Amino acid sequence: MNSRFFLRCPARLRRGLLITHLATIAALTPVALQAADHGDSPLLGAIGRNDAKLTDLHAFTHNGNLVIALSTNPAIPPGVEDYLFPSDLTLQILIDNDSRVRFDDPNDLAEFGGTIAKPAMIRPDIVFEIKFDRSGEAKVSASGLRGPDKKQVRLFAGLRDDPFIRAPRQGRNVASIVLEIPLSAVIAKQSTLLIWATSKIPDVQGPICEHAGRALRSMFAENDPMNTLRPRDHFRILGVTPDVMIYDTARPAGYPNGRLLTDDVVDLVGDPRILANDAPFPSVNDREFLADFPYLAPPQ
Amino acid sequence: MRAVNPCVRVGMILVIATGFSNLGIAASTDRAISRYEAEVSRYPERYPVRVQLADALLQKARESHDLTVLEQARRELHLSLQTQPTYEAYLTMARVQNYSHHFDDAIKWARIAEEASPIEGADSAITAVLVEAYLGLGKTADARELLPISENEPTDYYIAASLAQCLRAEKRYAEAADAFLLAGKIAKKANVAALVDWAEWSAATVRSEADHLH
Repeated sequence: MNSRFFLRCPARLRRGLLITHLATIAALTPVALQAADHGDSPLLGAIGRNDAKLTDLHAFTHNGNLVIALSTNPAIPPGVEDYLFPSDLTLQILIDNDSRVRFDDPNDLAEFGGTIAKPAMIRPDIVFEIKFDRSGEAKVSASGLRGPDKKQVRLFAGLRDDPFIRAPRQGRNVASIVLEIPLSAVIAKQSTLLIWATSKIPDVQGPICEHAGRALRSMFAENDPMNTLRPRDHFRILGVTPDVMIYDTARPAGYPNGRLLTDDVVDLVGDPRILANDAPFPSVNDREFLADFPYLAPPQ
Repeated sequence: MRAVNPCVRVGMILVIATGFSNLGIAASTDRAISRYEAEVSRYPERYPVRVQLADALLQKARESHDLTVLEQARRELHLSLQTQPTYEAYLTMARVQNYSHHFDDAIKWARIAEEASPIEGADSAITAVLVEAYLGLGKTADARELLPISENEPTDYYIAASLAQCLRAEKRYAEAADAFLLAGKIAKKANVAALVDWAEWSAATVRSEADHLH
Protein backbone atom coordinates (compact mmCIF):
# COMPACT_ATOMS: atom_id res chain seq x y z
CA MET A 1 0.00 0.00 0.00
CA ASN A 2 1.56 3.33 -0.94
CA SER A 3 0.75 6.74 0.39
CA ARG A 4 -1.22 7.68 -2.67
CA PHE A 5 -3.44 4.68 -2.20
CA PHE A 6 -3.70 5.57 1.43
CA LEU A 7 -4.84 9.09 0.63
CA ARG A 8 -7.45 7.80 -1.80
CA CYS A 9 -8.89 5.39 0.72
CA PRO A 10 -12.32 6.09 2.07
CA ALA A 11 -12.17 7.63 5.50
CA ARG A 12 -13.43 4.48 7.17
CA LEU A 13 -10.64 2.45 5.63
CA ARG A 14 -8.08 5.07 6.52
CA ARG A 15 -9.23 4.94 10.09
CA GLY A 16 -8.68 1.24 9.96
CA LEU A 17 -5.06 1.73 9.03
CA LEU A 18 -4.27 4.11 11.82
CA ILE A 19 -3.14 2.03 14.70
CA THR A 20 -0.62 3.97 16.65
CA HIS A 21 -3.03 5.90 18.79
CA LEU A 22 -5.23 2.97 19.57
CA ALA A 23 -3.70 1.83 22.74
CA THR A 24 -2.28 4.60 24.77
CA ILE A 25 -3.71 2.85 27.77
CA ALA A 26 -0.76 0.93 29.01
CA ALA A 27 -2.92 -1.81 30.42
CA LEU A 28 -3.04 -3.08 26.88
CA THR A 29 0.64 -3.65 26.91
CA PRO A 30 1.94 -6.52 28.96
CA VAL A 31 4.00 -5.12 31.75
CA ALA A 32 7.45 -4.98 30.33
CA LEU A 33 9.40 -5.18 33.51
CA GLN A 34 11.03 -1.89 34.25
CA ALA A 35 13.06 -2.31 37.33
CA ALA A 36 13.09 -0.08 40.39
CA ASP A 37 10.13 2.21 40.04
CA HIS A 38 11.02 3.19 36.50
CA GLY A 39 8.11 1.57 34.75
CA ASP A 40 5.29 1.25 37.23
CA SER A 41 2.10 3.32 37.43
CA PRO A 42 1.29 2.73 33.76
CA LEU A 43 -1.50 5.27 33.92
CA LEU A 44 1.03 8.08 34.21
CA GLY A 45 2.70 6.94 31.03
CA ALA A 46 -0.66 6.59 29.33
CA ILE A 47 -1.60 10.21 30.02
CA GLY A 48 1.82 11.48 29.03
CA ARG A 49 3.06 12.26 32.52
CA ASN A 50 6.25 10.26 32.97
CA ASP A 51 7.50 13.34 34.82
CA ALA A 52 5.32 12.29 37.78
CA LYS A 53 6.84 8.82 37.97
CA LEU A 54 9.15 8.10 40.87
CA THR A 55 12.13 6.05 39.82
CA ASP A 56 14.21 5.53 42.96
CA LEU A 57 14.33 6.36 46.66
CA HIS A 58 17.57 6.26 48.63
CA ALA A 59 18.13 6.99 52.33
CA PHE A 60 21.37 6.95 54.28
CA THR A 61 23.25 9.04 56.80
CA HIS A 62 26.32 11.15 56.25
CA ASN A 63 28.20 13.03 58.98
CA GLY A 64 25.24 12.91 61.33
CA ASN A 65 22.77 14.01 58.71
CA LEU A 66 19.93 12.07 57.14
CA VAL A 67 20.12 12.13 53.35
CA ILE A 68 17.09 11.23 51.24
CA ALA A 69 17.34 11.17 47.44
CA LEU A 70 14.19 10.88 45.37
CA SER A 71 14.50 10.48 41.62
CA THR A 72 11.78 10.98 39.05
CA ASN A 73 11.02 10.73 35.33
CA PRO A 74 12.53 7.73 33.53
CA ALA A 75 11.81 9.26 30.11
CA ILE A 76 14.18 12.22 29.95
CA PRO A 77 15.82 12.20 26.51
CA PRO A 78 19.57 11.59 26.51
CA GLY A 79 21.55 14.74 25.89
CA VAL A 80 19.11 17.06 27.62
CA GLU A 81 21.18 19.49 29.69
CA ASP A 82 18.55 21.18 31.84
CA TYR A 83 15.37 20.04 33.46
CA LEU A 84 12.30 22.04 34.30
CA PHE A 85 10.18 20.36 36.95
CA PRO A 86 6.53 20.89 35.97
CA SER A 87 4.78 23.51 38.09
CA ASP A 88 1.76 21.24 38.65
CA LEU A 89 3.84 18.45 40.18
CA THR A 90 3.94 17.91 43.95
CA LEU A 91 6.40 15.51 45.53
CA GLN A 92 6.30 14.39 49.12
CA ILE A 93 8.86 12.58 51.23
CA LEU A 94 7.24 11.15 54.33
CA ILE A 95 8.74 9.81 57.54
CA ASP A 96 7.10 7.84 60.35
CA ASN A 97 9.49 8.13 63.26
CA ASP A 98 7.60 6.27 65.96
CA SER A 99 6.18 3.05 64.50
CA ARG A 100 7.76 0.17 66.35
CA VAL A 101 9.86 -2.20 64.26
CA ARG A 102 11.11 -5.61 65.35
CA PHE A 103 14.19 -7.30 63.94
CA ASP A 104 13.60 -10.85 65.16
CA ASP A 105 12.01 -12.36 62.07
CA PRO A 106 14.82 -13.39 59.71
CA ASN A 107 12.55 -13.52 56.69
CA ASP A 108 11.13 -10.02 57.21
CA LEU A 109 14.59 -8.77 58.07
CA ALA A 110 15.96 -10.04 54.80
CA GLU A 111 13.05 -8.90 52.66
CA PHE A 112 11.87 -5.69 54.27
CA GLY A 113 14.56 -4.74 56.77
CA GLY A 114 12.39 -5.62 59.76
CA THR A 115 8.86 -6.29 60.95
CA ILE A 116 6.52 -3.37 61.50
CA ALA A 117 4.64 -4.17 64.70
CA LYS A 118 1.42 -2.34 63.80
CA PRO A 119 1.30 -1.84 60.04
CA ALA A 120 -2.24 -0.46 60.15
CA MET A 121 -0.99 2.40 62.32
CA ILE A 122 1.70 3.77 60.02
CA ARG A 123 1.35 7.52 59.77
CA PRO A 124 3.75 10.22 58.61
CA ASP A 125 5.11 12.30 61.46
CA ILE A 126 7.27 14.43 59.20
CA VAL A 127 6.35 15.45 55.66
CA PHE A 128 8.61 17.26 53.24
CA GLU A 129 6.54 18.68 50.42
CA ILE A 130 8.35 19.85 47.32
CA LYS A 131 6.62 22.10 44.80
CA PHE A 132 7.98 23.97 41.83
CA ASP A 133 7.39 27.52 40.75
CA ARG A 134 6.89 28.59 37.16
CA SER A 135 10.62 28.73 36.55
CA GLY A 136 10.98 25.21 37.91
CA GLU A 137 12.64 26.28 41.14
CA ALA A 138 11.94 23.86 43.96
CA LYS A 139 10.41 25.02 47.24
CA VAL A 140 10.32 22.66 50.18
CA SER A 141 7.98 22.96 53.12
CA ALA A 142 8.31 20.70 56.12
CA SER A 143 5.63 19.75 58.58
CA GLY A 144 6.33 17.88 61.80
CA LEU A 145 9.73 19.46 62.33
CA ARG A 146 10.56 21.84 65.13
CA GLY A 147 10.81 25.46 63.95
CA PRO A 148 14.60 25.80 64.11
CA ASP A 149 15.06 22.43 62.39
CA LYS A 150 13.05 23.58 59.38
CA LYS A 151 15.81 26.05 58.61
CA GLN A 152 18.37 23.26 58.49
CA VAL A 153 16.82 21.44 55.55
CA ARG A 154 19.21 21.41 52.61
CA LEU A 155 17.63 20.90 49.20
CA PHE A 156 18.88 20.02 45.75
CA ALA A 157 16.60 19.71 42.73
CA GLY A 158 17.79 19.06 39.21
CA LEU A 159 19.04 16.78 36.50
CA ARG A 160 21.30 13.92 37.65
CA ASP A 161 22.70 10.71 36.31
CA ASP A 162 20.22 7.87 36.93
CA PRO A 163 21.58 6.25 40.11
CA PHE A 164 19.86 2.96 39.38
CA ILE A 165 22.55 0.34 38.84
CA ARG A 166 21.12 -1.42 35.86
CA ALA A 167 22.37 -1.97 32.33
CA PRO A 168 19.45 -0.45 30.40
CA ARG A 169 19.67 2.72 32.49
CA GLN A 170 23.31 3.42 31.80
CA GLY A 171 23.72 6.72 30.03
CA ARG A 172 20.33 7.96 31.18
CA ASN A 173 19.44 10.86 33.45
CA VAL A 174 16.64 11.45 35.90
CA ALA A 175 15.25 14.50 37.70
CA SER A 176 16.21 14.26 41.34
CA ILE A 177 15.47 15.80 44.69
CA VAL A 178 17.99 15.45 47.48
CA LEU A 179 17.21 16.46 51.06
CA GLU A 180 19.74 16.59 53.84
CA ILE A 181 18.82 17.34 57.45
CA PRO A 182 20.40 16.70 60.84
CA LEU A 183 19.40 13.22 61.93
CA SER A 184 18.55 14.61 65.34
CA ALA A 185 15.79 16.67 63.78
CA VAL A 186 13.88 13.62 62.57
CA ILE A 187 14.60 11.08 65.29
CA ALA A 188 12.05 10.93 68.09
CA LYS A 189 11.94 8.07 70.61
CA GLN A 190 13.68 5.44 68.51
CA SER A 191 16.42 5.16 65.94
CA THR A 192 14.24 3.49 63.33
CA LEU A 193 12.44 5.43 60.60
CA LEU A 194 9.88 4.39 58.02
CA ILE A 195 10.41 6.39 54.83
CA TRP A 196 8.38 6.61 51.63
CA ALA A 197 7.65 9.12 48.86
CA THR A 198 4.73 10.08 46.66
CA SER A 199 3.97 12.23 43.65
CA LYS A 200 0.81 14.04 42.70
CA ILE A 201 -0.49 15.85 39.62
CA PRO A 202 -3.96 17.38 39.26
CA ASP A 203 -4.98 15.09 36.39
CA VAL A 204 -5.04 12.02 38.62
CA GLN A 205 -7.72 11.99 41.28
CA GLY A 206 -6.87 11.09 44.84
CA PRO A 207 -4.01 12.18 47.05
CA ILE A 208 -1.35 9.97 45.44
CA CYS A 209 -0.56 9.08 41.86
CA GLU A 210 2.73 7.28 42.43
CA HIS A 211 4.47 5.76 45.43
CA ALA A 212 8.00 4.65 46.21
CA GLY A 213 9.15 2.76 49.29
CA ARG A 214 11.53 -0.16 49.42
CA ALA A 215 13.36 -0.71 46.15
CA LEU A 216 11.78 -3.10 43.66
CA ARG A 217 8.37 -3.61 45.20
CA SER A 218 5.68 -1.30 43.85
CA MET A 219 7.08 -1.63 40.32
CA PHE A 220 5.73 -5.14 39.92
CA ALA A 221 2.38 -5.35 38.16
CA GLU A 222 0.85 -7.30 41.01
CA ASN A 223 1.83 -4.48 43.37
CA ASP A 224 0.61 -1.61 41.20
CA PRO A 225 -2.36 -0.91 43.54
CA MET A 226 0.21 0.11 46.16
CA ASN A 227 0.98 3.16 44.08
CA THR A 228 -2.23 4.99 44.94
CA LEU A 229 -2.61 3.92 48.55
CA ARG A 230 -1.06 5.09 51.77
CA PRO A 231 1.26 2.51 53.33
CA ARG A 232 -1.17 1.64 56.12
CA ASP A 233 -3.74 0.87 53.42
CA HIS A 234 -1.32 -1.52 51.75
CA PHE A 235 -1.95 -3.60 54.86
CA ARG A 236 -5.56 -2.68 55.57
CA ILE A 237 -6.88 -2.86 52.00
CA LEU A 238 -4.43 -5.03 50.12
CA GLY A 239 -3.46 -7.24 53.04
CA VAL A 240 0.26 -7.00 52.32
CA THR A 241 3.28 -5.67 54.18
CA PRO A 242 3.29 -1.90 53.67
CA ASP A 243 5.77 -0.69 51.10
CA VAL A 244 7.99 1.59 53.13
CA MET A 245 11.73 1.75 53.53
CA ILE A 246 12.70 0.63 57.01
CA TYR A 247 15.82 2.39 58.16
CA ASP A 248 17.33 1.79 61.58
CA THR A 249 19.73 4.71 61.70
CA ALA A 250 21.65 3.10 64.57
CA ARG A 251 22.93 0.50 62.12
CA PRO A 252 24.88 1.04 58.91
CA ALA A 253 22.69 1.88 55.93
CA GLY A 254 22.47 -0.66 53.14
CA TYR A 255 19.57 -2.42 51.48
CA PRO A 256 17.16 -3.38 52.99
CA ASN A 257 18.11 -1.13 55.92
CA GLY A 258 17.68 2.19 54.16
CA ARG A 259 19.38 2.24 50.77
CA LEU A 260 22.81 3.43 49.76
CA LEU A 261 23.42 4.92 46.34
CA THR A 262 25.89 2.11 45.75
CA ASP A 263 23.44 -0.69 46.57
CA ASP A 264 22.99 -2.93 43.54
CA VAL A 265 19.38 -3.70 44.38
CA VAL A 266 18.83 -5.68 41.19
CA ASP A 267 21.25 -8.32 42.44
CA LEU A 268 20.31 -7.88 46.09
CA VAL A 269 16.63 -8.50 45.42
CA GLY A 270 17.46 -11.13 42.85
CA ASP A 271 14.03 -11.40 41.31
CA PRO A 272 14.47 -13.33 38.05
CA ARG A 273 11.97 -11.07 36.33
CA ILE A 274 14.34 -8.15 36.85
CA LEU A 275 17.59 -9.97 36.41
CA ALA A 276 16.52 -11.08 32.95
CA ASN A 277 17.01 -7.63 31.41
CA ASP A 278 20.11 -6.61 33.32
CA ALA A 279 22.88 -8.08 31.17
CA PRO A 280 25.83 -7.52 31.43
CA PHE A 281 24.84 -7.20 35.11
CA PRO A 282 26.66 -4.07 36.28
CA SER A 283 27.40 -3.96 39.99
CA VAL A 284 28.44 -0.32 40.16
CA ASN A 285 26.92 2.83 38.72
CA ASP A 286 28.20 4.02 35.35
CA ARG A 287 29.14 7.39 36.90
CA GLU A 288 30.85 7.83 40.21
CA PHE A 289 28.72 9.23 43.01
CA LEU A 290 29.84 12.40 44.77
CA ALA A 291 31.35 12.29 48.24
CA ASP A 292 29.35 15.32 49.30
CA PHE A 293 25.98 16.91 48.77
CA PRO A 294 24.05 16.28 46.55
CA TYR A 295 25.80 12.88 46.35
CA LEU A 296 24.13 11.84 43.10
CA ALA A 297 26.40 11.88 40.05
CA PRO A 298 26.19 14.78 37.59
CA PRO A 299 24.04 14.22 34.50
CA GLN A 300 25.45 12.58 31.40
CA MET B 1 -8.20 1.65 35.71
CA ARG B 2 -7.17 4.12 38.36
CA ALA B 3 -9.11 7.28 38.88
CA VAL B 4 -8.21 10.19 36.69
CA ASN B 5 -9.80 13.56 36.28
CA PRO B 6 -13.02 12.88 34.31
CA CYS B 7 -11.92 15.23 31.57
CA VAL B 8 -8.63 13.41 31.16
CA ARG B 9 -10.32 10.05 31.34
CA VAL B 10 -12.62 11.01 28.50
CA GLY B 11 -9.58 12.21 26.62
CA MET B 12 -7.89 8.86 27.11
CA ILE B 13 -10.88 7.00 25.82
CA LEU B 14 -11.07 9.40 22.91
CA VAL B 15 -7.47 8.81 22.10
CA ILE B 16 -8.00 5.10 21.89
CA ALA B 17 -11.38 5.12 20.22
CA THR B 18 -10.12 5.52 16.70
CA GLY B 19 -12.70 6.15 14.12
CA PHE B 20 -15.64 5.84 16.43
CA SER B 21 -17.03 9.23 15.63
CA ASN B 22 -20.47 7.77 16.22
CA LEU B 23 -19.72 7.37 19.90
CA GLY B 24 -20.97 10.86 20.52
CA ILE B 25 -17.82 11.88 22.30
CA ALA B 26 -16.79 14.77 20.12
CA ALA B 27 -18.15 17.23 22.65
CA SER B 28 -15.92 15.69 25.28
CA THR B 29 -12.90 16.16 23.04
CA ASP B 30 -13.82 19.80 22.70
CA ARG B 31 -14.07 20.08 26.48
CA ALA B 32 -10.65 18.49 26.88
CA ILE B 33 -9.17 20.90 24.33
CA SER B 34 -10.77 23.88 26.06
CA ARG B 35 -9.48 22.78 29.43
CA TYR B 36 -5.92 22.26 28.20
CA GLU B 37 -5.97 25.52 26.23
CA ALA B 38 -7.06 27.40 29.33
CA GLU B 39 -4.33 25.75 31.37
CA VAL B 40 -1.49 26.52 28.97
CA SER B 41 -2.78 30.04 28.52
CA ARG B 42 -2.51 30.55 32.28
CA TYR B 43 0.63 28.46 32.75
CA PRO B 44 2.55 28.59 29.47
CA GLU B 45 5.49 26.78 31.05
CA ARG B 46 3.49 23.57 31.56
CA TYR B 47 5.06 21.59 28.78
CA PRO B 48 3.38 18.27 29.66
CA VAL B 49 -0.03 19.92 29.30
CA ARG B 50 0.89 21.20 25.85
CA VAL B 51 1.52 17.60 24.81
CA GLN B 52 -1.83 16.58 26.26
CA LEU B 53 -3.44 19.43 24.30
CA ALA B 54 -1.73 18.27 21.10
CA ASP B 55 -2.99 14.76 21.75
CA ALA B 56 -6.54 16.04 22.18
CA LEU B 57 -6.23 18.06 18.97
CA LEU B 58 -5.08 14.94 17.16
CA GLN B 59 -8.18 13.19 18.43
CA LYS B 60 -10.25 16.12 17.20
CA ALA B 61 -8.76 15.61 13.75
CA ARG B 62 -9.66 11.92 13.87
CA GLU B 63 -13.24 12.64 14.80
CA SER B 64 -13.85 15.58 12.49
CA HIS B 65 -11.47 14.77 9.63
CA ASP B 66 -10.47 18.43 9.92
CA LEU B 67 -6.73 18.29 9.49
CA THR B 68 -6.29 22.02 10.06
CA VAL B 69 -6.28 21.45 13.82
CA LEU B 70 -3.08 19.49 13.38
CA GLU B 71 -1.22 22.72 12.71
CA GLN B 72 -2.13 23.86 16.21
CA ALA B 73 -1.08 20.44 17.53
CA ARG B 74 2.34 20.84 15.91
CA ARG B 75 2.66 24.36 17.30
CA GLU B 76 1.89 23.15 20.81
CA LEU B 77 4.40 20.34 20.49
CA HIS B 78 7.12 22.70 19.27
CA LEU B 79 6.41 25.04 22.20
CA SER B 80 6.52 22.08 24.57
CA LEU B 81 9.83 20.91 23.14
CA GLN B 82 11.28 24.41 23.35
CA THR B 83 10.52 24.42 27.08
CA GLN B 84 11.62 20.86 27.78
CA PRO B 85 12.39 18.05 25.32
CA THR B 86 10.36 14.99 26.28
CA TYR B 87 9.65 11.48 25.08
CA GLU B 88 5.93 12.24 25.10
CA ALA B 89 6.31 15.26 22.79
CA TYR B 90 8.47 13.32 20.34
CA LEU B 91 6.04 10.40 20.25
CA THR B 92 2.99 12.62 19.86
CA MET B 93 4.71 14.52 17.06
CA ALA B 94 5.32 11.21 15.29
CA ARG B 95 1.63 10.36 15.64
CA VAL B 96 0.57 13.76 14.33
CA GLN B 97 2.88 13.38 11.34
CA ASN B 98 1.52 9.92 10.64
CA TYR B 99 -2.02 11.22 10.64
CA SER B 100 -0.92 14.02 8.31
CA HIS B 101 0.59 11.36 6.02
CA HIS B 102 4.05 12.83 6.53
CA PHE B 103 5.31 9.34 7.03
CA ASP B 104 9.02 10.03 6.56
CA ASP B 105 8.83 12.74 9.16
CA ALA B 106 6.86 10.45 11.48
CA ILE B 107 9.67 7.92 11.28
CA LYS B 108 12.21 10.61 12.12
CA TRP B 109 10.29 11.70 15.22
CA ALA B 110 9.63 8.13 16.27
CA ARG B 111 13.34 7.35 16.12
CA ILE B 112 14.07 10.35 18.36
CA ALA B 113 11.35 9.18 20.76
CA GLU B 114 12.93 5.74 20.76
CA GLU B 115 16.12 7.19 22.24
CA ALA B 116 14.13 8.72 25.09
CA SER B 117 11.84 5.79 25.74
CA PRO B 118 11.56 4.68 29.36
CA ILE B 119 10.81 1.15 28.18
CA GLU B 120 13.55 -1.44 28.42
CA GLY B 121 13.78 -3.20 25.08
CA ALA B 122 11.37 -2.49 22.24
CA ASP B 123 8.76 0.17 22.98
CA SER B 124 5.62 -1.21 21.36
CA ALA B 125 4.02 2.26 21.17
CA ILE B 126 6.92 3.37 18.97
CA THR B 127 6.85 0.13 17.02
CA ALA B 128 3.21 0.81 16.20
CA VAL B 129 4.01 4.34 14.98
CA LEU B 130 6.80 3.00 12.77
CA VAL B 131 4.68 0.16 11.40
CA GLU B 132 1.98 2.65 10.52
CA ALA B 133 4.48 4.95 8.83
CA TYR B 134 6.11 2.21 6.78
CA LEU B 135 2.74 0.87 5.71
CA GLY B 136 1.78 4.40 4.73
CA LEU B 137 4.91 4.54 2.56
CA GLY B 138 4.04 1.20 1.00
CA LYS B 139 7.06 -0.46 2.64
CA THR B 140 5.26 -3.48 3.97
CA ALA B 141 8.40 -5.59 4.38
CA ASP B 142 10.04 -2.85 6.46
CA ALA B 143 6.92 -2.64 8.61
CA ARG B 144 6.83 -6.38 9.06
CA GLU B 145 10.48 -6.48 10.09
CA LEU B 146 9.69 -4.29 13.08
CA LEU B 147 7.35 -6.84 14.57
CA PRO B 148 8.81 -9.48 16.86
CA ILE B 149 9.03 -12.97 15.43
CA SER B 150 7.44 -15.37 17.84
CA GLU B 151 5.68 -18.67 17.73
CA ASN B 152 3.34 -17.36 20.37
CA GLU B 153 0.46 -15.00 19.81
CA PRO B 154 1.18 -11.36 20.65
CA THR B 155 0.06 -10.32 24.13
CA ASP B 156 0.49 -6.61 23.46
CA TYR B 157 -2.33 -4.67 21.84
CA TYR B 158 0.00 -2.45 19.84
CA ILE B 159 1.79 -5.46 18.42
CA ALA B 160 -1.38 -7.42 17.68
CA ALA B 161 -2.97 -4.43 15.94
CA SER B 162 0.23 -3.69 14.02
CA LEU B 163 0.50 -7.31 12.93
CA ALA B 164 -3.09 -7.20 11.75
CA GLN B 165 -2.38 -4.12 9.65
CA CYS B 166 0.70 -5.73 8.12
CA LEU B 167 -1.24 -8.87 7.25
CA ARG B 168 -3.96 -6.74 5.74
CA ALA B 169 -1.41 -4.90 3.60
CA GLU B 170 -0.09 -8.30 2.50
CA LYS B 171 -3.67 -9.21 1.55
CA ARG B 172 -3.66 -12.08 4.02
CA TYR B 173 -7.14 -11.15 5.05
CA ALA B 174 -8.15 -14.18 7.10
CA GLU B 175 -4.99 -13.95 9.22
CA ALA B 176 -5.44 -10.18 9.51
CA ALA B 177 -8.97 -10.69 10.79
CA ASP B 178 -7.71 -13.17 13.36
CA ALA B 179 -5.03 -10.72 14.49
CA PHE B 180 -7.63 -7.98 14.87
CA LEU B 181 -9.77 -10.32 16.94
CA LEU B 182 -6.76 -11.14 19.07
CA ALA B 183 -6.23 -7.41 19.62
CA GLY B 184 -9.87 -7.24 20.61
CA LYS B 185 -9.37 -10.00 23.17
CA ILE B 186 -6.43 -8.11 24.68
CA ALA B 187 -8.56 -4.98 24.84
CA LYS B 188 -11.38 -6.95 26.44
CA LYS B 189 -9.03 -8.26 29.07
CA ALA B 190 -8.05 -4.67 29.82
CA ASN B 191 -11.71 -3.60 29.91
CA VAL B 192 -11.38 -1.08 27.11
CA ALA B 193 -14.72 -1.52 25.39
CA ALA B 194 -14.12 1.02 22.63
CA LEU B 195 -11.06 -0.88 21.49
CA VAL B 196 -12.88 -4.20 21.57
CA ASP B 197 -15.46 -2.65 19.25
CA TRP B 198 -12.75 -1.18 17.04
CA ALA B 199 -10.91 -4.46 16.74
CA GLU B 200 -14.06 -6.42 15.94
CA TRP B 201 -15.13 -3.77 13.45
CA SER B 202 -11.70 -3.95 11.82
CA ALA B 203 -11.88 -7.75 11.63
CA ALA B 204 -15.28 -7.53 9.96
CA THR B 205 -13.99 -4.88 7.55
CA VAL B 206 -11.05 -7.03 6.55
CA ARG B 207 -13.33 -9.99 5.98
CA SER B 208 -15.59 -7.88 3.78
CA GLU B 209 -12.55 -6.74 1.81
CA ALA B 210 -11.66 -10.38 1.25
CA ASP B 211 -15.21 -11.23 0.21
CA HIS B 212 -15.20 -8.29 -2.17
CA LEU B 213 -12.03 -9.54 -3.84
CA HIS B 214 -13.48 -13.00 -4.24
